[in-house]
Amino acid sequence: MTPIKPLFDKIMRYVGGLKFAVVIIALFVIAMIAGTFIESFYGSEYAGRLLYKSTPFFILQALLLVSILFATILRFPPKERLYGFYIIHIGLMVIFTGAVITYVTGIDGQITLAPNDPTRRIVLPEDVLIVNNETLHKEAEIQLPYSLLPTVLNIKWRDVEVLDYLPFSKNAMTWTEAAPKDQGAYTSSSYELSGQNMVQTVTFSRHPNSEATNHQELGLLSMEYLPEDLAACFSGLNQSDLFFWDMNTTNCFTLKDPNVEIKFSKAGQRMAFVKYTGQPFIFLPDKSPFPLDKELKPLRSSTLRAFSSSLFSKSTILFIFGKQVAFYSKETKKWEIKTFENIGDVVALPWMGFKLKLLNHSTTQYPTTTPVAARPEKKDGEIVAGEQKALKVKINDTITWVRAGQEERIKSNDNFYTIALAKKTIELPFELTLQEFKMDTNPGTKTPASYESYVNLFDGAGNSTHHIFMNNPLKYNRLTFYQSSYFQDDNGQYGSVLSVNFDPGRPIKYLGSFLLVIGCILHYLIGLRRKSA
Amino acid sequence: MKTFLLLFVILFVAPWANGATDVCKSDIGSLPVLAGGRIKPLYVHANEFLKFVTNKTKYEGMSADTVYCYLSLGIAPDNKEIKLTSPVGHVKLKKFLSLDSNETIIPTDTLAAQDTGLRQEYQSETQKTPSDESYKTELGNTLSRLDLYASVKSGDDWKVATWEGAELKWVSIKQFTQSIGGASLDLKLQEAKDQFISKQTDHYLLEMFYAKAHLFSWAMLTTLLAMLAFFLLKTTTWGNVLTFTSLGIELAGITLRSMISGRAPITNMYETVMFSGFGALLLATIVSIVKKEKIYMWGGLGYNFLCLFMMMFANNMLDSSIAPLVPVLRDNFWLSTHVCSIMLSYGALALSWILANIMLVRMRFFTIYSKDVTYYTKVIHTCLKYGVVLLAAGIILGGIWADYSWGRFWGWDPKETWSLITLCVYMVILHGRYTSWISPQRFILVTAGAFMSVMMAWFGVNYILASGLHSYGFSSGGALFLGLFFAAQITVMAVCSWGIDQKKAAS
Repeated sequence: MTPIKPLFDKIMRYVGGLKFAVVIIALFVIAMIAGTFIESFYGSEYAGRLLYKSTPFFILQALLLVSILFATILRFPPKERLYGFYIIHIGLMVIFTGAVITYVTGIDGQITLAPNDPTRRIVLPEDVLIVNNETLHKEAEIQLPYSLLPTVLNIKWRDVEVLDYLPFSKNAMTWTEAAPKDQGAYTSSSYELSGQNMVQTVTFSRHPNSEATNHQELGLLSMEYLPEDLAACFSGLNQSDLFFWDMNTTNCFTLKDPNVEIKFSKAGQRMAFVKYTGQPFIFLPDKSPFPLDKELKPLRSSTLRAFSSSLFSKSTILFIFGKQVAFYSKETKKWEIKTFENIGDVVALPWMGFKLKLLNHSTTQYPTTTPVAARPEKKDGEIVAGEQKALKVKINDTITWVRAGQEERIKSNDNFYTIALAKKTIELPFELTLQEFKMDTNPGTKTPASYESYVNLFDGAGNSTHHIFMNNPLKYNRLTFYQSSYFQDDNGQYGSVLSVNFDPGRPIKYLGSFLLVIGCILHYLIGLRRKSA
Repeated sequence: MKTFLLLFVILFVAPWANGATDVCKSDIGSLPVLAGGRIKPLYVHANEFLKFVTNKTKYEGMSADTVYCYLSLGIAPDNKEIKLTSPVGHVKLKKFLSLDSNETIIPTDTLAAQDTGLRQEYQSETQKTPSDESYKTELGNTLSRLDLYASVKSGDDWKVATWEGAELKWVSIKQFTQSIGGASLDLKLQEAKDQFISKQTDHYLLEMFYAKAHLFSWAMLTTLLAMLAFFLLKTTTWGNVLTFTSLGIELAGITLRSMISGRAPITNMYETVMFSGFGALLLATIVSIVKKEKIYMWGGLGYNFLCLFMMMFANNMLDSSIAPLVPVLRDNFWLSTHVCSIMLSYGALALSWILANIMLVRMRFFTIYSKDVTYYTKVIHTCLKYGVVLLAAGIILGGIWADYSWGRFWGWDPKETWSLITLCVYMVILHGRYTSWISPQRFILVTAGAFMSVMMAWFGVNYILASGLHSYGFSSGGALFLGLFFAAQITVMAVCSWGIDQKKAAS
């Protein structure tokens, strides 16, 4: 007799024993309670990745299964009074087995049917990175892990390196170093605007690669971010109420310039005739900052603009030049220029106690939005941020962030790449076409009473029409199609979304459920008979 | 001739002239109206309207349908304008409306005058991070009240059934009044009703009967009387009779409700409370007859009373109106089998909970023989067994239904997960008891506590988890109720478990 046998028996008695089972079930219960709260806070995807589909939770379920198995084996050879017990526990194990088979081999996807558009493509829940070298006509699909935390993948395919994977991210503003040739050419600044009950950060950039804009509106206040040199032109406004400026060169000149001639129309309108870089321009400066074209309409493409004090002194508009700001003060009836000497300085604005604080100012760096790891954020029961998936990809020297649902086009070493973070898809061996989507509403309301899809199925041999609605799925080729959702396309026509399901574990789970119920009944009957006996 | 004319005027014209003003005092309750996606009697809709807007069932002795009618037609009865009042609960809302903190109502017209301001307040509260969820809910409710009130006052809310050839068309009372010209509104409305009944159905009148019968109030009364009879009288005859009467009334109520809605009556919180109370009493009565033990019936009566009490008074949490179902639930077979077995199981588990708590208190504060403890443990154990088997069956049925209509057996949805948590909790207790690992005293204690998982699965998923956990204030109806329940149950357990240990030490 080897010493393994008694040890094995000991383990079996322990694992099959009640204390072990209670501990495992208790852990299982605690995990599930935590899971429901996590889901309520961060959404189902986060809960799935953190808990329900995580390895520790699978291990917990496996231990539960082992505990049930050993508890059953320990009570062999069969005793008549335990027949119910056996069947209940076997039923549970069968359900588990079915669930595992479903998990491993099953398909749970979606098919989106636009009206009258034959479709074969099923979208699966798995995330993949699709890299396409368009120049060489090579494509690769890289499976992404079902992870919760940011993961460094370090996967290499040809010139493409897949670096960081953020399953949950949101976009944040970060300051990036400009290319050497652009250093000092463009200004970028961010400010904190505070007023009654509100504090908001606003970021501007004139760098062409930055996502930050030159113009922002906050309620009634609008802000224009202009080149630094123009501040000098604004300071001249109190002497001469009109100046002209070139958007490209940021040159500015006033009425005193010999190339400017002022005339008045019959209606008393001020007209300015300007000769600039050898070209004539006509302005109605008190009407519009743009010159007039031949048809006397504003020429919005012109880089030469007029700035008339009277046009802007009435509106709540703040002109920002990096370290200086200009605004029209109704109290002093003058244009005022304020300067931030240092970062952190505050300038009081003339509107309702608003204040502007300089947070950052740079000519060598510019703000860009980059994905940063985050947790999903919920507001009013819906996730509003933090559920974006993002991947950092390096092709030769170019580093790009790819966000889910967006396609990035990159040129590197004379090769064109398209990179997309998408859901994995598979093709059906047959074709579905949505003929009609019908949504009935409850009379007199807009609440839906039913969703129905009329679908044509073409399998190469022939056509057949099917009617899919709630609680009435289409079964075909071992696949089941359920009415899941709907959408409206640009023309206002309804499209339908079906969920597609292939589940080889289904009969096994049903068998297990059946055994469980039979076992319960048997257990009860045996108990009853023993009591009467 | 003159006398004849005079007589004619008195007989016919006068009632006609009065008809325009007195239409609201006539039998308008039985008119069919279209509201909330269903056809119901005006009586029911008007009562729901008055209850929602004013939180009252009557206005100065006037019935709800009369008030609704006057408001819709823009008539001031006896030249006295109808001035409804709306409830204001939240402190912040009172402050916003510059009300005194001890005032609980505000004239609805005063409230309506501040509609724009309230809407802005709601917007700004929504944009705040973090926003005060309970205040936002209160603002939202107030705005819904005002919307409904405005819709009624404009004459758009009241929909009258008219016919264009064979096609049914619902028009607002405003349009209807215009279309009939000078004819008597009263007569025309009755005509429209008769036409609707002859061309369509009089099925909706069932709801009028249901609403007027107040069956569940009667059931509550008989349940209370049954408990008193068992408690005070030496014979059990009266108690039995009253229990069966109560069961009969509830069965009638449930049947009526299901006939009105055309579906199994277990689709919202109100109905599940109703069904579990009834189910528990039915189950308890059957078991008590089979086992010849009155104790089950007493537990069942107690729980049934609690359920009826909630249905009657917890209006914030349980909405008694009958509303159309979301599409996925429209399957009577699965709805009835799955939800019924879950609700019956909650009923059975509730029995065990009531008995366990009674025992806890008795063991702590009264002398009790160990023979009795063993006996009651057996009774509670029986309830648990029924509850657990029904719960397991219900979960499996739910899985099969989910598989059948969504294509997945299990999806870790919070309702599913909590029902499994509940099952696991009771499984541990049953196994522990089966192997005598848990002593009878401890068994009673944990059974009392385990019902908290049922409450979480039943109410908590809807009122705490679904509403988002940011509203930890427990201020909205359901969450507050649950919070109080958990606090009370834990207190009872803490106080009584201390007693168990002491008694053990003494013996």
